[in-house]
Amino acid sequence: MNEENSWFDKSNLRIFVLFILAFSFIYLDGTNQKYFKKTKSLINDAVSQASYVVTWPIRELLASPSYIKSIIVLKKNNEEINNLKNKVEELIVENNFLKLDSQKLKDFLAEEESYSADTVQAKIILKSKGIFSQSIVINRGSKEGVKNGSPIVKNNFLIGQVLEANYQSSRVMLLTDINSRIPVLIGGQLIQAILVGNPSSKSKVSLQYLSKKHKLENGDKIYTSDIEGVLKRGILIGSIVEVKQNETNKMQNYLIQLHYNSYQADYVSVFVSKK
Amino acid sequence: MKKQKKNYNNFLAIGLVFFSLMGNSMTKEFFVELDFNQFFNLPYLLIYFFSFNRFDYFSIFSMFVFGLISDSITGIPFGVSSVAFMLIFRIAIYQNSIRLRSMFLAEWFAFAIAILITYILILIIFYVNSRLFDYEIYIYNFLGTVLMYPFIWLILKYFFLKLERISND
Repeated sequence: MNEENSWFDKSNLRIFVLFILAFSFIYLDGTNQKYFKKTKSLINDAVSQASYVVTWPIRELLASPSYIKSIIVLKKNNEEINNLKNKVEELIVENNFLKLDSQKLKDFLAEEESYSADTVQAKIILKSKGIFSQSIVINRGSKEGVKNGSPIVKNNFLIGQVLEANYQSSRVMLLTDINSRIPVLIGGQLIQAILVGNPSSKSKVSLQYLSKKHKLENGDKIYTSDIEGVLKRGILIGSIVEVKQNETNKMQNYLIQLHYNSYQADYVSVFVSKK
Repeated sequence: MKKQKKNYNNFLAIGLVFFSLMGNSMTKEFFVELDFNQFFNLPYLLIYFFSFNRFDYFSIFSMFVFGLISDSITGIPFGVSSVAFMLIFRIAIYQNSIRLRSMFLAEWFAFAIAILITYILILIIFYVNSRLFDYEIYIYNFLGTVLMYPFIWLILKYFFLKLERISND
């Protein structure tokens, strides 16, 4: 009998052992076993760093046209930046006026200023956008004070939360991941809801547990809530860009626009607790 | 000398699988968001193809290690991809050994069965682990992966045959 023509050949013991090992890993991961968690953290660190190093030459090679292009258009951009700078200064003056005008917004901004010092810059070393998960890996971990649940922001917009803080790296679950759950406050009335990842919807996120008596409007901003005690209050996430009335169940459907496409980012800021 | 040429192809094959696991970290550099992982599963396609065609370095142990690397990159529970890769590898080897390779349609159908079993197993694991998933996305991904197989098969066959001819010349 040909050895390879059967499922019961000599190598089956090795296959059986490896399958048992793999299923044991799944079980241990699910139960958050302490020693397994530490081992996994070490493997994650090693894999993320090694992957970054191994893919570096190809990434640099692929990115080289953009470097050349950026040098050519640098001068032109510089002029545009100067013009924009002037406009930004004007907008800052206008913004200051609005700050004084809105007490709630002022509170948010004051709070944001107070924790602005508690952030560390992190480089994105891996991006995963598939059917299994939507996440990124950053090069900061528990060594720098990153904890599970730490908010990740880019240009002051929330893009996700730390799912798994390893020693030297961390996995960040993006807002669009199906397992993502963020308590939020919406609009001027600060209506409470939960922002959930919804990869099959147009906006990739949707709102849950939204009170039926409240109606949202176009342009309503979505901020984080500190209701769970994990996130900081008042980090901007996105806004409502379209409100549709569902005729069948008389409910309103909202199209949400996230303010930052996390896959375009190379660097992000992580909120860390310095206490 | 011949062995060296063969190893070169094998090394390239294993390298392709590794880079397919990197996914979006690589495609971002093309200045477009190529979310191909949403529509079809490239690592599964490559593992099946290379295992079916008996490339060296594709063993049950290497599939286990690749699975752990994949889980570490994607952030799903450790061991899930190992189970998936080992299952695809084992089915591919079995199907190769019963001489399915003489007819492409039979190979394609066998691939669909292998992927279907793998996805069902993964979803069962996710369900047991209370991990949320959208089954519709998995159905589309399954269909996309199955439909992409002939194209990937053609490209890889042509590419590796060419490479072998160049090496022989």
